[in-house]
Amino acid sequence: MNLHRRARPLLGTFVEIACRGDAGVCLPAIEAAFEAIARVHRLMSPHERDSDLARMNERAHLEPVQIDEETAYVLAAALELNRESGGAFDVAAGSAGSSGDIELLPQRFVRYARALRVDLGGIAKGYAVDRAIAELASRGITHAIVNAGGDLRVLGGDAQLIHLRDPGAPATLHPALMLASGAVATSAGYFARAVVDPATGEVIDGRDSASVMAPTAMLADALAKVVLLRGSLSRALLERYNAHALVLRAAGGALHARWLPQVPA
Amino acid sequence: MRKRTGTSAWFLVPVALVAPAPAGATQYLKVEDAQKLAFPQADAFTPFAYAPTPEQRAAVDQAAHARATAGDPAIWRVTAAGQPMGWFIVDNVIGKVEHITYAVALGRDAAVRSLEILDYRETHGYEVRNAAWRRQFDGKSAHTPLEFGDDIKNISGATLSCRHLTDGVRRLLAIQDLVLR
Repeated sequence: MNLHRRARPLLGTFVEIACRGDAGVCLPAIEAAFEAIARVHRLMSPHERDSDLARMNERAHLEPVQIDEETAYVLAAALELNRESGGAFDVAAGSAGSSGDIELLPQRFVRYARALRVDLGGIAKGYAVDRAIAELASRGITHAIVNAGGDLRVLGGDAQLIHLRDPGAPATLHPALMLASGAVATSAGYFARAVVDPATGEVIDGRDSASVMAPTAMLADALAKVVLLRGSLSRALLERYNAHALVLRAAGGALHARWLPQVPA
Repeated sequence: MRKRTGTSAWFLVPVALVAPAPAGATQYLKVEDAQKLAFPQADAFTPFAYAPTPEQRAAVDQAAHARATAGDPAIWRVTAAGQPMGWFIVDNVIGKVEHITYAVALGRDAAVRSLEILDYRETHGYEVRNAAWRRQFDGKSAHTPLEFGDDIKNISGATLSCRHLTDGVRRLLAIQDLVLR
């Protein structure tokens, strides 16, 4: 039984897959998992020409656009999270409208009430991690980690030590969590991608990071943005999705931490 | 920022004991293994002397919309039974906190057959090794099957962009187009 690790640039970031088992089982499984992630990239990147996202943003305000099953699944989840978070999670943030202007119709057609620039970047990365984990599990893999630029999910019941970056000095790592059979994702303003507050259009660039542990990477990815924006106001939302958050704050040369809704058992 | 904070839930993470940590380095693949994976049928990888003229270098810079930042790539001509199969190229990119060695396999049609990261190194300036902070992990095994030593870490953090690497690949395609014949 060996450890196999591979990394490729996908989804605008670095995706790493680590998998324990025989090479004959692991290597084809890793290849299939990367292919599942590449497929999400092709469908949901707003920059890939002919992606579902590009076609939606170009035409959905003119006529219903039919999208792939996977894109429809992620979009439906995004719209539900938008409602549940009272608008804090919004894949149309930063454009002229909001998620309320997006309508998912039968047979995977989508229609916009006005021209929008929808970006699934805040949820598709997590979904891609879940797809990769599902692909590995379906091929008999029992122990694996998929990490897409910090959105990561652990397959298997052995707890893994997870390091978080210091939001005031991102090159500094803190051993912060033990995670088994679940996902964690972190949002912060310390690298290129910032989070936009849909309520104000304001870019959040504070000295906070929000890490969310959830059953799936898709939920962790999306909820991390909400926690970064809404702090303790997201407590009920986290409970609803069986998730926990660890907020780190760099202030006055010290690092502070806080769990929401409470320290997990 | 306008974050409304709760009452007493914040606790201080002690950062008194700060010790230098080695730069984290992960080797994913050796060059020879990546060659075999990319071109399983090949029987020869012949080093190619990449020595562009100043004119070629300028043309590559222009086509790639960027100047090289980490030196010239190492290039191999790939053949099977004397027949050309394509090119195998190993290159480096340097980002804000990361230094990456990656390999690109180009087919005879100049299309990218595969792209694999060989080495990934992050400069972690310092790491907190504080006894009180670490105590929360007592009784839980940190060295479970997927953790191997201090150099390989599971890091959750805001997304690190792979733009530098994408720029690097565009540069290799320009080199293929303008120099490799």
